[in-house]
Amino acid sequence: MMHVNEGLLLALRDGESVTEEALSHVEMCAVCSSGLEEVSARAALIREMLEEEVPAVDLEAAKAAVRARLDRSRTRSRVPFIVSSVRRAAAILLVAAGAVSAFQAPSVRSWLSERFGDSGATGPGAGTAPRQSEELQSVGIAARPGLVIALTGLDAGHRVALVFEVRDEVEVSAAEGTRFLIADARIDASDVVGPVVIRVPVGAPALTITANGRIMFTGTDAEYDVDSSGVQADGGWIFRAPDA
Amino acid sequence: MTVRATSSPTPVDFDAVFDQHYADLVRYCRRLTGESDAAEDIAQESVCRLFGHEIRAGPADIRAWLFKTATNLARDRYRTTTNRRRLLEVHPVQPSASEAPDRALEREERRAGARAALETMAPRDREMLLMRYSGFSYKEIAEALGVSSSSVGTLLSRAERRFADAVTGLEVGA
Repeated sequence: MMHVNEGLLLALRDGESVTEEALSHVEMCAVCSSGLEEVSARAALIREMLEEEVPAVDLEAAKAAVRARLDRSRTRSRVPFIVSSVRRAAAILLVAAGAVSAFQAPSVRSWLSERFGDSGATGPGAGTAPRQSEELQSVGIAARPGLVIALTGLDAGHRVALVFEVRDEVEVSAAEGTRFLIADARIDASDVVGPVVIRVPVGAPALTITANGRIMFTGTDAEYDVDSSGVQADGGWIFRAPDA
Repeated sequence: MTVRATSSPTPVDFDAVFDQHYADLVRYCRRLTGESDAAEDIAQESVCRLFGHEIRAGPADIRAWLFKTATNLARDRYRTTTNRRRLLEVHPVQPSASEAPDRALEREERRAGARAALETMAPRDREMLLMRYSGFSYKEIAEALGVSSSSVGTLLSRAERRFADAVTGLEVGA
């Protein structure tokens, strides 16, 4: 066996799992043993360098500060950051006019629950909504800067729900038959069946969602730009896809 | 294509989150930003995000989630703050009364050197280094930074070398 690379030596040093072959080699090889000692010494030095005397944390004060922040955020209505005021006006008008009566539910989750189990749904996209008995497909990817979720082949008006919640990764769900392709920082969903549900971790870096090539949403849960079809509800947004 | 079942949520307790994670989170944020005030602010904002949506359940690994969120917040702050204090301008920590002045000075110089070296590194290298030296596993680092688990050793090795080189470079240049 050739000498192990430094990445593997670090894994060994840090107690990560390595192959038995690599472990045996390092035990027998003077060069690699020396390398392991070297990276171990480096770790000790770095640990010493990074030793930080953090001023004592006042936990009670911190708790009070967080509670105050939470109270503030719950009592004020969240004002979205929308680059285009025209878009914002359009979104508000849509709601005010009741043009999207299906979107009047105060919560994205209740809309999802209703839509995914409701056989009497009407409107574009609803006709292909999966019933509770149908299988949903979900693909997941770690939230990362620059993540793009591209949805293509949707009928005009097809619904796309975006939900922000405390979770570990970005997840895209649709009914069986939808085709997913995952790349490094991209999820492509084509031939979408039923409403699409995109679940995004609260606090995740900015991501972009497109439907039939048009940007529906770009940003984070706290700062974003949305398409005029977007209707904000508690917990997220619901969009309608444009013409393909 | 990966088809996965939704994992069962974990109950989140407000006091427990603070007791178990807050001090470590502040320490990590302080290393990441070099600023005590910013560190507290980012740590508190991260906890706020955890509870801010009135969700009664949280991620499987709350610690990893908090650190990941703090890392993202620190990145945003780094990108958007134009008058950010330089790390070298951070007010030095006052030595404790029982510590000899020369030893305290030496320790503070070492910390300042470390902060300056961190400042020269690429964000991902810096985050990787700090997460590792905050006790995160390679798997947790991979998930937080969006890299594959198998590449963490190699990337961390590079980050360590860059940190060591930066420290050496600063010492030579001093």
